[in-house]
Amino acid sequence: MNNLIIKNINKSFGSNQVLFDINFQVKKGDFVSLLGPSGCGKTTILRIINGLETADTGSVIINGKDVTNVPVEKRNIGMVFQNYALFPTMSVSKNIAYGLKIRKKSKKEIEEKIKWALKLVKLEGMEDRKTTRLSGGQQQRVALARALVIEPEILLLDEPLSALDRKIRAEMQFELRNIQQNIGITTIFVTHDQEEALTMSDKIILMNKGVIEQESDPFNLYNYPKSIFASDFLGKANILEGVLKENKGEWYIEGEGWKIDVNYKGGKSGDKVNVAVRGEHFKVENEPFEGSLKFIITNKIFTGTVCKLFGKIGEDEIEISIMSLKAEQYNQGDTAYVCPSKKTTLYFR
Amino acid sequence: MKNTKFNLFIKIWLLCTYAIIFIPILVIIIMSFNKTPFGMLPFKFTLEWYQLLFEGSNLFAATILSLKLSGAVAITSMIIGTLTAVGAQYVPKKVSNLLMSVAQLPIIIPWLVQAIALLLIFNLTGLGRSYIGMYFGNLIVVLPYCIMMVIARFNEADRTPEDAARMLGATYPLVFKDVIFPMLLPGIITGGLMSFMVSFNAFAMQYFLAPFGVRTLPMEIFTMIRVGYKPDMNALASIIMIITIAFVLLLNKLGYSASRLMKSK
Repeated sequence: MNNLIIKNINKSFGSNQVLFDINFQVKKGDFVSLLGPSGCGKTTILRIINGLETADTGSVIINGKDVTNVPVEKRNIGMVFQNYALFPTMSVSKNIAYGLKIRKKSKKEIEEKIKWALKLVKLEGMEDRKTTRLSGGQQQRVALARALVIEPEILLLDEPLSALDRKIRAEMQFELRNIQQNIGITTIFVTHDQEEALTMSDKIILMNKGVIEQESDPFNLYNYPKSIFASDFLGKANILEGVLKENKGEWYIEGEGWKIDVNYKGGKSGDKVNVAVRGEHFKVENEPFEGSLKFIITNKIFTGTVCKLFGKIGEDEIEISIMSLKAEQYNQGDTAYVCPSKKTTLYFR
Repeated sequence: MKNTKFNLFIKIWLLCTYAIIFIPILVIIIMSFNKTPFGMLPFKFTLEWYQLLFEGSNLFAATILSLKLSGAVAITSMIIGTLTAVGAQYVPKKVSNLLMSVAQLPIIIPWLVQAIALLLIFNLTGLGRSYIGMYFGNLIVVLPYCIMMVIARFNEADRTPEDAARMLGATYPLVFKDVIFPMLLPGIITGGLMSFMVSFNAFAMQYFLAPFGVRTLPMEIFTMIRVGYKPDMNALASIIMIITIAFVLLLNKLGYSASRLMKSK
């Protein structure tokens, strides 16, 4: 069953149109990421879902009910803001209780719910703390608890992890996903961080300039992007210009001094295309092998687990990632032989 | 080092500046405890002037009147100032910017001019010199302080908790009560305290608008200076000084140091 349906949403701010005919559906219990560079309109979609912004056209349907014209306070949606947006004058428990008090729940029920929520986000015993005295990670947990106690129909997360430092962010990614799966709440997660989206989501909606580029599960989005933008935004891809050619039913792309085999996906011989290959999808050897290209290394950068080799095939520069230990044998000026994996080599017209 | 000489010069300069500001204040406090009424040495300790102030002087009554007037003005200005600042959030930015620069005019236009203009209007309407006229005159000159302090709170505070409250189900009156008002409170109090102090000092307004025969503290002092005065004024000045310092400390505690006030303007 679909929990959330977004239909034909258009939105402009003045003469600047930020969303173009947005359509998507979210299944109950799914964790969906809206991913895209800043200014792509992802936050605007979120604000249209929660009602803080109204769309010019189209509708928002939650659990079969059209809420397009329902005011914010009547929508029953939980939201965690980028800067947490806690009430600074209230204690932790008062923050969490706020939505329940408005719903006129009994004192006993409120107490039980606060306890449940604090346990859920692992902040037991912090009831009376001032929120201004909490660390960023703790504030984030309070914000999450506050959004969840009202038993919202869907949970919206607006870049909730971007203000945390790297280590806490990784912890929170894991925990957020855990909590989400435990209570099975449909969640929309806005982020510009592709790694975050890839690790946490059931489905990723990739956006660019107000349109949806691709909608897919993380694995397929990463490995089989449908456009140059998608292949470049999710992890760095090498994008080379070339000409599509055919020889005895085998298709390949020819560029300046190189030739890469591809699986045929439309187009005719002689078409100008862009070919996209991820840096880690190259086989790298010391000696020439079948289908290999000569790769002259111009630079080498150590980044931890992997090493980046910069260099030239023919006249074009590419970047290849290999495991650091394997990279030990290569130095600037060396020649290696490389071949991209045919399965994940994609071309776009 | 070459700089040490220059540093020393700066330090002395700083010391002199502060001395010029604070020595007169110190002198008046010392003199309020001195037995001779002519501000001369040798120093002989007495509390006589404080006694006179509370028992036999006109100053005390005038002070009470000034306190009442400034209190009423400050409270009104807090209410109107807050409402104005809140209202300015819900009109287009261009309009609110224009309104705000107009609202600041009463600080810039010489009070003398404003006072005369008001007196003119009050005379025309038949109100003449009156308590109510004096109250309005003072209110006009302090309102900008309250408006600016509250606007400054709006500008510097995080506004997302308002959205958060709405998403949790709060309607606007609740959002105002639970989120906006607590957020503005330090600004409102600061604005009120500043209004109080400015109104307490607004000699020109009071001189032109007070009913005949009624004298606020600044007017009383002005009158006394012309005919010669006793050190009970020193005593009063000392008391006012202590209260003012307490005010400044309170403002600082609310997070409104002088530097912050400059910035928010």
